[in-house]
Amino acid sequence: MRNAKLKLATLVLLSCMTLQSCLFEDKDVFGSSSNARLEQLAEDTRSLLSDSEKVWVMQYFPAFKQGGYNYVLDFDEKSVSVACENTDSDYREQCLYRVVIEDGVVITMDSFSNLMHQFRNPNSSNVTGKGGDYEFIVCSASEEMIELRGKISRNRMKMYPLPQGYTVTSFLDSLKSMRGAWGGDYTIYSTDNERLGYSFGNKGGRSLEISCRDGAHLSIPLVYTLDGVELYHELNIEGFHGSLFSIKGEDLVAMDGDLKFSKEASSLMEYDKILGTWNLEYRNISKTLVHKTVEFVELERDKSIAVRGLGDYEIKMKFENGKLYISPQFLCEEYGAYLWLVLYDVRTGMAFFGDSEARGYYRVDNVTSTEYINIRDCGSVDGYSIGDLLLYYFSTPEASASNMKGIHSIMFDVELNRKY
Amino acid sequence: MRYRFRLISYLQGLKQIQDRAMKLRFKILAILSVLCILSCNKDAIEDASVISEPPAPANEFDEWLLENYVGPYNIDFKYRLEDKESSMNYTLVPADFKKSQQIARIVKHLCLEAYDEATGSRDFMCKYFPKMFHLVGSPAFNSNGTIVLGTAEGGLKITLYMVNYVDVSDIDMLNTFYFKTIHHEFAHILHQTIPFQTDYQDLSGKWYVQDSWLYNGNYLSQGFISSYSSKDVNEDFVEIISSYLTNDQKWWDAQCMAAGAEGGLILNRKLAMCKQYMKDSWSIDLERLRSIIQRRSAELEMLGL
Repeated sequence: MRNAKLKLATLVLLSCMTLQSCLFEDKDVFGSSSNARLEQLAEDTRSLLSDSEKVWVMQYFPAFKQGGYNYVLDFDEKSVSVACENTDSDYREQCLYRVVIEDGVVITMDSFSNLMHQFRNPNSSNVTGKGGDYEFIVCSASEEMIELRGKISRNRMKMYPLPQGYTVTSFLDSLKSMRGAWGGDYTIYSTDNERLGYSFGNKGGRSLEISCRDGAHLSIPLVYTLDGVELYHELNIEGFHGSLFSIKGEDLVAMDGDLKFSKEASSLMEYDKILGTWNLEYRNISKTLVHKTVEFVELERDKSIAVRGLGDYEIKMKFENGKLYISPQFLCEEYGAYLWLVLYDVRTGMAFFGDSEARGYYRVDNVTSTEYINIRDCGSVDGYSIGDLLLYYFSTPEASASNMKGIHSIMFDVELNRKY
Repeated sequence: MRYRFRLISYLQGLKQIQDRAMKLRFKILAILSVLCILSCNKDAIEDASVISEPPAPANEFDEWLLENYVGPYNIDFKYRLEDKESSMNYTLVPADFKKSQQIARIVKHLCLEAYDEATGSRDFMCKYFPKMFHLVGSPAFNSNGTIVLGTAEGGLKITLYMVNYVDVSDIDMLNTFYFKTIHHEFAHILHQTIPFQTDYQDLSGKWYVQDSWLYNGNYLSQGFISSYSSKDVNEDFVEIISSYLTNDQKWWDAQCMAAGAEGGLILNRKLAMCKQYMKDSWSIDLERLRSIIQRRSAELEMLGL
């Protein structure tokens, strides 16, 4: 009986609620149907792209860690001429494109161009390419800017008209000059000269590695502009912020915030303070967290350190200006093979085992403390994020692609700390 | 007494109606609720269709495809990469425009027109050949290190990968990476339409190894024309047909020789069954089709690619 009353009450309530929907008219918030708006956006995008007066600069972010690249795209009705800052400024390629309605309005570069698809093209050693897109969802379109999102990567990108007074070639040349002017180590200040942290990077790098005074570590991709750099997203340190930076002398100054990067020598770590016992943590090939205790031992005072405790070998690290560098190196001979430490980009599957020191990566940490070392890519090889270690056997003392024998172990997400 | 009896029965009847109504009240209310919801629908149907996206501007190649694929065969030759037509399991890039044109011309010459010649008209291809080609520029890499050369889906679509690697001067490469794939996939469509003889299975029944085919180095001696043949009986069947069509007799004889006495015997038995199947089911002389394809392969230079 009780159930029956409940059912009855529910049905009466339902009837009243459904009747409500007949009483009031829906207000049209947008003024037209969603389909009409979609088609309008598609039409606007087509018109903007094929406008013969305009050449577009695209700030393209393939995979997050790689940083941004500038493309210059000259669209006509059917095809697009492609130029990119990471190749010769005079070099052009053509590919076809369309603006379609699919998952929103999408610009699809649907015939092959080595330049346009370089960040997506897979190969046998890198079956997922470099994480790039060939299709871009249009979020908004106007004469001043077309906001995009990569269909696969979901990275935010944008296109804006080529600045007045520049040709495609001169624009790319200017970007390259800017890239040559930027990079290295900076101290980060607020505009009222409060020291907030440090940023590290090689000349011409495409990301900022930042160590904040409160211990936070940030990694932000960036893209070059005519004035300096633009960050993928705003840098915010304790409320001080900025995303668009221009180069003024040797400093980088936020044009839209209150941060400043100052190129001053900074003592980051003292050699003596990093010697001693460390807790090494990393993830192995099964993604299991592994802990080992290692010793940082003096090799050459203020110049190099040996890391012992991993096996019958030691790993040498260079110490320079308060930073540590690791390079590919021979470790030991065992089981009839030669064990090397190889630097590894897990995302692309690329391994680096030349003996060039330029391919080292260095640590970034809380520079006011000697309790924590986080291994990061120093940006020495463009287009890669070399942040992991691979121990690999070769059949000869010299490591090369032709004498690879097999893997010993992999170390992902390497971190050193003094938490015991 | 009679009136009282009538009144009682009248009241009893009313009560019965009331009881029935009580039982039906939930159903009545549910129907009323549905009617209320439906009655709120006041949208007017618009005259204009919501599907009005204009087609992409056509180029010369599109015109050529209209004349050589769509018109005669009703085949949609998609040379521009479409996300929704691609497998989400692989990272892919579009096909190069020039190479797409080359592939389109070669496919027409070596495949479509070859079958037309073998069957005497376009009817066979119009009826059975997949209605869509989709070109992909890059290989589709599997996690085990193998690559996918092509797929045929539901008899409707053939996807060809690695188009950006086309080299029109290398017929062996064209056969290995493209035409063998097309004949392979088309043979699947044929046997899915009319199954082949079940006793084909008996020729190599115990040797099929499913996904371990990659590691099968002894395929010839087991009577398989390729290691991929050893995957299952369907792949075995179509590999015999596609390998036979894209290679000459000298090659076939060499394979049989290398297979040894037993392996060679199995291969030739399989070939005989394939020929019988094509003849009985499709009225196609496999031998004649092969000679047409071989002759047309030698004519590729004349296509002006």
